Amino acid sequence: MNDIGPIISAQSLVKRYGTMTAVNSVDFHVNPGECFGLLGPNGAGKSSIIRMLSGVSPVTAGRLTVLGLDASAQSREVKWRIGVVPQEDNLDPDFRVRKNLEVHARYFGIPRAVARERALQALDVVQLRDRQESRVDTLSGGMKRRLMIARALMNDPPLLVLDEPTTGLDPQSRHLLWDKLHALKRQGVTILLTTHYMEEAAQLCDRMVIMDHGHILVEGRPNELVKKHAGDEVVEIRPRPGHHEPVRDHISSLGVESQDGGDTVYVYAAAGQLANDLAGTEADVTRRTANLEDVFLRLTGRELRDE
Amino acid sequence: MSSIFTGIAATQGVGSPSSPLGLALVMRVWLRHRDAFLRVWHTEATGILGEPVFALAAFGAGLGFYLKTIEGVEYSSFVAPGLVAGYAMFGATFETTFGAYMRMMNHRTFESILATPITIRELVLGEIVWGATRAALSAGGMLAIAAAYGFVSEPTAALMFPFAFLIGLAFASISLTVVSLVPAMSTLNTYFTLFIAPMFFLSGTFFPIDNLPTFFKGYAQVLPLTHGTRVIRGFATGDFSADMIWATLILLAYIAVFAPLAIILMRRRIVK
Repeated sequence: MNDIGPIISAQSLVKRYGTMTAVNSVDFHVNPGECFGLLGPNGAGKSSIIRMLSGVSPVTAGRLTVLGLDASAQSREVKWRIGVVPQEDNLDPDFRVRKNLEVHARYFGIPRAVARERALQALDVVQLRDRQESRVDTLSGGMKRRLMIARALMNDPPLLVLDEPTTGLDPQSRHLLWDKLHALKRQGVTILLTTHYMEEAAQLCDRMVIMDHGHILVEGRPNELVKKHAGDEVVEIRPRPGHHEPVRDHISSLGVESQDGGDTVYVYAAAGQLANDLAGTEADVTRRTANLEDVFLRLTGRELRDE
Repeated sequence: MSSIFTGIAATQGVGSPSSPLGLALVMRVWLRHRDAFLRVWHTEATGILGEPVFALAAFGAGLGFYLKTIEGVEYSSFVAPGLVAGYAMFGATFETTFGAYMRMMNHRTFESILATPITIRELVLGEIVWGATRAALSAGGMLAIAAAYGFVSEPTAALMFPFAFLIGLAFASISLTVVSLVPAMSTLNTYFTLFIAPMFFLSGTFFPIDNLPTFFKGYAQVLPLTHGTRVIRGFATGDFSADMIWATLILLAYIAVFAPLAIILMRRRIVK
């Protein structure tokens, strides 16, 4: 099929709903075999991008190709080739587990015998074969999510798109799901996912973008982004009640990069020296290794997003 | 590109994204509904065959005992085809109002289907054809019980069955248009109160509409069930008239207007 060139390519991609601009001219590409992350707070434009590249939402402007196909003009072909795992459960409650997969395969015109065999193998992949005759409403949240992944595999897609695959799952289910996604990646499946969990992005993604308000803020490998935008260490300073002003003044006099998070001030880099400088001030000081969450919060701010 | 499957399952390039005229894709949606129906066939069959037993006992044998003939036939033979047409309407309408709304909003089945090569057009047409299938099943159940009671005996009565499918296409098209517009499931009740229920009472199901007050008579003339009933009753008595052709054309006009409208409005509702 499309062995050369990117699996997904977005150029000056725009999505508008009426007068509201959800995606404001973004550029990114996803290479074959890669796991690519779309990160950003609510309303950043992640879901709009997912919907466009899944062929269910037309592109407003710019260019978006998936497996070399135009995501708007050739949406049917795109949908035929890729696998999509939506955020919310939309398994068919009228059918049992295996039948859900077989009915899905039929929409793709996959012959019945092939569909049956694929359903069993896909259930093996997500460790649900022994539940093949269960009603879907008897499955746990984690099982449902795994079943949705199995369903997305039925058309043997070279690209799997997952919208917040582990939201709402317990740690055991989440880790099992990560293992499954790693295994699929090893088999050559390209993965694009959105997530709110920085640990998940760091675990799974080779490359990622952090978005906000329809724009891409940064793009890169998780560890590079941490190094570049948060440094090695972060110092969290919590002034004691009544001592906010002097502590803050003291920090700004040190000339370090800090971010005000309400009750806590975050300082990136130069941790060893800073801990000495803050000795004696009326504040609790915690020193820790910088992570992706620091990058995220530093770039997108700490205000609540309630959209 | 390697496959994640092995053996027969790994067959590359199986299936096809589209088909000539998209008819096969419409049928894939229809097959989903058929399978869901067959999974609970025993409950469905109880409804399809059980209700006519009581409805025909009440109106045919019960009420029919007190009434003499209407338009030259016994009341039981008059009302039976009326109920066949009425049940065709209900069969299609329940499936494509509450059923379709549940699939669209509560179960997100539309969303999952639209993530596959199926588009809105084929999804809506699949719903309409399935609604018509339900109409034929409901009408067929009524027809079978009416025949068992001896209320219909003309061989032409068998034609009611395919015609009920046509009535179903009309009502399913109208229902899906309504579903594409309603803000909540409860709004569908209004559709039943203002359109479906009056239609059942005013479309010549239980008595000829010729002697209704002028307003209601005029209203009845625009209701699709009036025309469905006229043709179904013609098949029951074997009295074919030019009226039946007109009535058929009017039903076809309903389909021609509302099926495309349902597709357009559903696309507007779903594709953002």
